[in-house]
Amino acid sequence: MKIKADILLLLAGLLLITLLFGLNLLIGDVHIPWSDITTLLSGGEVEQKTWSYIVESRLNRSVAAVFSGAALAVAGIILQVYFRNPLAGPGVLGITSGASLGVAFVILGGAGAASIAGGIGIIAAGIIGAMAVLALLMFVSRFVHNPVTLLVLGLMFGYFTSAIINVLFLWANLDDTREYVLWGLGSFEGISTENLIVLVSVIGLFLLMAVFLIKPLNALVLGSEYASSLGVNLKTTKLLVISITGVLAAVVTVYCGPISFIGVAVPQLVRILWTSKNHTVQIPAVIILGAILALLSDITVRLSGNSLPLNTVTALIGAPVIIYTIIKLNKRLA
Amino acid sequence: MLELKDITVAVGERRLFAVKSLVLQKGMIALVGRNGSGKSTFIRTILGEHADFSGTVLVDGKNPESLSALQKSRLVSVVYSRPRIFGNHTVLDVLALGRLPYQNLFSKISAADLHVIDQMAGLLKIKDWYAKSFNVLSDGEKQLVMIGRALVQDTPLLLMDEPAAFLDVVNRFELSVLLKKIADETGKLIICSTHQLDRVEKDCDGVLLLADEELKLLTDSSNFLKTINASFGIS
Repeated sequence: MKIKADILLLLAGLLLITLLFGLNLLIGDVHIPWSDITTLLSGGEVEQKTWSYIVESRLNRSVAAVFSGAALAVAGIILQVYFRNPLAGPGVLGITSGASLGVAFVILGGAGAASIAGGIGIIAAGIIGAMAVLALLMFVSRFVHNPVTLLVLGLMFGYFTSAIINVLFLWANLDDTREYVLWGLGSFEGISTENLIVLVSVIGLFLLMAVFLIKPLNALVLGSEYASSLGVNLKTTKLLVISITGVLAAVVTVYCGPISFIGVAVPQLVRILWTSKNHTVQIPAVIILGAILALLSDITVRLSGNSLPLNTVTALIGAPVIIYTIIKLNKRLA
Repeated sequence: MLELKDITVAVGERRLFAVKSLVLQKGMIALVGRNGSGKSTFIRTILGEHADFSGTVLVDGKNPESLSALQKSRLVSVVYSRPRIFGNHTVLDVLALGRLPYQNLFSKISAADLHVIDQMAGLLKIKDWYAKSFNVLSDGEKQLVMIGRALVQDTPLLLMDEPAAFLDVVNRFELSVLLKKIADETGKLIICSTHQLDRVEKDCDGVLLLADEELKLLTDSSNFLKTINASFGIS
C-alpha cells in the first residue's frame, strides 16, 4: 500500500486547484493586475470601480466550478460503486435529467429563478426530480444486471424527460423558453453571490455526509451480499446513496445546468492515478480531480470568449474516458 | 456455537426442511442435499436473512434476526460461489476488506489488522500474492483469496455456499483438504455446502444431510457416503 504517493498526489492536486483558481481570476477580456485582484479580494478598493464587479463575477464562477465539479465527481463514484458499474454517473443515468425536468416545470411554469419563491421551488423541484429517477433506477437495477443495459436505461430516461420538456414548451412563453434553453447549455457563469452561498453550503454539507459511505463503499465492491456480511446495513446505505447523490447532482444542475461527463470520467481517472482502494482516499481524490476538471473546463470556455458551451468542453474531456472504459469492460467480459 | 430448535423452514407455500434439535460447536461440516433441497436457504436462515421459518436459531446464544449487521459480521463470515470485485484491487486489498467490521469510520488498517491478515495468508500459503491483481487470478486462486478474506474476518462461524462450484477437480480436492486443516487448526465451525462427495469421509467431521424435507446430522464418518447415497436412492 503506497499510502505516501497517494497523499502526495492529493497535495499536488490541491496545489493545482489553487493555481487554476488564480488563473481563472486573472484571465479575461479586461486585464486586471494581480495586485488589484488581491486588494479587491481582501475587501479593499481600487481606482477602477467596475473592476470589483468583474472580479466578483470571476470569483463566483470559479467557486461554483470547484464545488460543482467536486459534487458531480463524488456523486459519480458513489453511483459507480453502488451499481458496480464503471459507466454510471449522475448524467448518464438520467439523474440530472430528472433534476432538469423539475427545473423545467418551475421555469416554464412562469416562476423565474430570480424570484424568491421560484428560487426555493427550483431547488426543491430539482431534488425531487433527481431522487425520483434514482429510486426508479434502484428498483429497475434488481432486474437488470448488465452494466451497459442500465446505462441505456438511463439514457432513455434522459430522452423521455427531454421529450416531456419539449411538450412543456408548447405552453411556455418565449422569455421562459429562452431562460430554460440557456440554462440547459450548462455554465458556471453569472451565478449570484446569494445563490453561490446556497450552492456552497448545501454541497459542502452533503460532501461531508459522504464520510458515512466510506465503509459501505469499501465493502460494496464485493457486492451487496458480501457487504451485508461485513456489517454494512444495506437499507441505511441505500437511503444515504439516494439522498447524497440526489442532492449533489440536483443542486449543481439547478444552478449551473445539466453538466455531463465530469461525474463518469473523474472516478475512472482516480482509479488509474491513485493506488489505495480505500474510499477514505478515493473520495478526497475525486473531489480534487472533479474540481480541477471543472476549473479547466471553465477556463477553456472563457478562453474561447464564452462562445463554447460548457458541455461541449466536458464532452471533449469525458467522452474519450468513457470510450476507453467500454473497451476495457468488453475485454474483461469477453 | 450454532443451535437449532424445532425448526421448520419454508419458501412461500413450499416446506423445505425441518429439524428437531441440532447443536454444532466446531469442526468441518459438509452441507449436502440435492438441488432445491434448501442448502442456500439454510445458510440464509442462519444469517438472519430468511425470515420464513418457525422455531429458534441461536448463533453464539443469540437470535441472528435480533442482531445488527455489524454484530453479525463479528460472529459469522461467508463465502459464496462466484468471486467478483468492482475495481482493480490487489490480493492484499481484498484480504484487508475482512477487517472492515473492526475498523472506524475511515477504515484505516491497523498493525493488528495486518497481523491477522499475515497469519491467515500464511495458513493458506498465499502471502506471496499480496501485490498481485485480484482480477488476473484464476478462479481457484480467487476463491482461495475469498476464503482468506472470510478467515481474516475472524469469526467463530464460517458459512460457505458451494465455494467449489466453479473449481476444477484438482482445486476441489485441495480446497477440501485445506478446509479440514483450517477447522482443525483454528477451532472454528465451518459449514460448507457441496455436491462433491468423494472427500467427505476423509475431510469432514460431520455431514448435514438435507433429504426428504428433513435436516439430519451424520457423525459416523465411516458411513457418510453409504447413508447419503441411500437417502438419494442411488447405490
